[in-house]
Amino acid sequence: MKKRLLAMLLCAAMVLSMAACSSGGAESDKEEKTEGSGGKKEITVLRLGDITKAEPIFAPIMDSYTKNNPDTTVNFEAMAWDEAKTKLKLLGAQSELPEVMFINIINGWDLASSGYLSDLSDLFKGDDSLSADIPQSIIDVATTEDGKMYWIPSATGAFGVWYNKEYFKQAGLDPNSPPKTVEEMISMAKTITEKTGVPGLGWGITATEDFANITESFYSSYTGVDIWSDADKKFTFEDNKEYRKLFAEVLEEFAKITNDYGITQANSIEQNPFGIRTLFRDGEVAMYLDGVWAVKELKEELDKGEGSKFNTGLFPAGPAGSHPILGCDGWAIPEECKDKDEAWKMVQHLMSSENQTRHASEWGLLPILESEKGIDEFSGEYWNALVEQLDTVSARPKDKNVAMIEQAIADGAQAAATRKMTPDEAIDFMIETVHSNYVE
Amino acid sequence: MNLKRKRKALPYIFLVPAIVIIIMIFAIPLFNLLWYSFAKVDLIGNFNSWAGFNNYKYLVTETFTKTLGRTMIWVVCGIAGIFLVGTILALALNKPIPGRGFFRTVVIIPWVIPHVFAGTMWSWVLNSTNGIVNTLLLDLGLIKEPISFLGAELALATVIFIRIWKGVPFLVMSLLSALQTIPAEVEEAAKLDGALGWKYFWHITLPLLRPVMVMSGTILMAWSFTIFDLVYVITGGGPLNATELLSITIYKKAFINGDMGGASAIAIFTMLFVSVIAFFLMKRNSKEAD
Repeated sequence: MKKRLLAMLLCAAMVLSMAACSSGGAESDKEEKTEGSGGKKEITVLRLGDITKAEPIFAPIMDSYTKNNPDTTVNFEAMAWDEAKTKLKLLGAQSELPEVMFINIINGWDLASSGYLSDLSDLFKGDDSLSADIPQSIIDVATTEDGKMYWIPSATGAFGVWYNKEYFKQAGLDPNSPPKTVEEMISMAKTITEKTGVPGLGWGITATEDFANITESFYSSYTGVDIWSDADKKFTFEDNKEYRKLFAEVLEEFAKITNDYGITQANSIEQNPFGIRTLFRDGEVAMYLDGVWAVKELKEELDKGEGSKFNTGLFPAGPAGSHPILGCDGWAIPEECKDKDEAWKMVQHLMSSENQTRHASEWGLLPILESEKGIDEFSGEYWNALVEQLDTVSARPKDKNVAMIEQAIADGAQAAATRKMTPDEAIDFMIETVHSNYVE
Repeated sequence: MNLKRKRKALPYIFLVPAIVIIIMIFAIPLFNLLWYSFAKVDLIGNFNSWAGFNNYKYLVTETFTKTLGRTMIWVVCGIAGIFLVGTILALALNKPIPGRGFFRTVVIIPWVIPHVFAGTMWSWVLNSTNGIVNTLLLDLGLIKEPISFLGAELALATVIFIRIWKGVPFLVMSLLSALQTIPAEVEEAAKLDGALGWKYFWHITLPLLRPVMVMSGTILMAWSFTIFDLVYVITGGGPLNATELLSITIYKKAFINGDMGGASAIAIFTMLFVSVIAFFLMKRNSKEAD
């Protein structure tokens, strides 16, 4: 009996000492992180994406920061996109998020709604040069309806029309006049298909985030509003008959493009919208919708300048104008950050014209700062429409359920495009799916 | 008496390490899963509130019934195909044909290719616009329009075909091992009795292979229910949910909808469903063996 009691006491002591060790370790880690070694400050900067891609781009940026701030040690890290969803939230729950981190939309609204991100709107407004350097349209996309800004936009891109000038010439169309409206895009695609035999429009409708983004862009271009209201936490077409009617028109147009006009490549249902990029590069389609992300992959041809067969145009306008959604990721600071001044200083450094240009040009992003526009890195003809597009962009759902909402949009739009559902059924499907899966 | 009791207890003592390990790696996660299935839990396991049977309500919806039906088609057709092709290949590779070692090695290749890579490879090969299969068929004039292998009509059949391709090596290896244990005397005796060809296969080979077949079939069934990456990489569960299996629904619930409770409820159902089928299969086999 005595032996058993002794064994139990020893076990309890061991468990307690282990628990004490582990919690003590965490505390000391935190302290060390703020103070750094030798009394130096220490901050960590995290970029989502591949470390082999991020490291060479950010190493000089981090070096210049430490050169100007010798009392601060900077650790630069990268995290794979697919790891981020669970890892960032876990780090947030443990108050272990890095001092400065690059946030994308899918993770950003989730972290913000959990209270893990600082509202940077006051700091941003307080920096006159930075706030004046970012176009209002981008600020709007990154700001909630109640005026909160959880990340400073740094990586953006909006859809536009990419077209092959040679096919335009062969079809008797002006290679310097890409389609301006949806009707023009369809009409030009018909002409090209008839005259050249090459599908006039590359069209992909797999039910992915990319197709949801295309659908959202059409919706905003037809209605003039974002597809999701973050204040009401529902679709903007749910209570508005006019928007619903216009959305039904969008979906009907999708069905006609997919089935009736005969202007697309075969089997659109198998193609992701961005998957068309390869077909476009190889001359198998004459036009398609894509964003700045295509620049890196088509660069060889684009850099031929005047002789390049590719060019870009604004996203085809609907009745309300040209309003493609803006992919808008950026730099955030956690709510629990111990030294927000230092973190904000780093964000300002990252957002300086020189560093932002390095980030944008080498990663394949748009030059969002006014001070970047027209510089050598972004001087090709194809940049004009991509940059101009930034003035009229709309927003993806600003909601922590954005992935689920966009999946519902993509599924419904695909069903309408393939005529498995009528536009009205597809709209009801989107509403019902989101209502039944929405997590508060 | 004491010695007798000790002897009886000995096997249980030997089982203790295994039981401890099973509890650590199986029972604790299972308990966690069960707990999640009755709660509102976020993606990183934060408990928000109890949900009662709310997470299980999805199991009686039409969407889920369709997914379950689709999964059954995937499992049954996949296993039937694996057995048909695998048995033929195993019988062929058991014969003393020239280059048998080489062919046996080639047959294993699909098994060792990771699911994600295999899925990506097949989606390129079968792509309707620039996939090699369609290009070849068009060049040979066998088709006029590219076949949409991954379109709504053919996607499920296509992923079942790929499942068969991926699963055959496991069965071939299992059956080859079993075939090699059939004594030569049995074959000679059967031949003397006039049991040749189909008769020999049906009355001699098949009964002797049955235990291995049942065990392999049970394993293949459990795998088929849980395969996720192979299908997700190829179709993402689409188009129009044509290839959405239980495993993909679980993933979508957890990682797209952020509903760990709902995902856990489906996972619990799947586990029970597979366990019940496996139990009856094994029970029937042991009865027949007796």
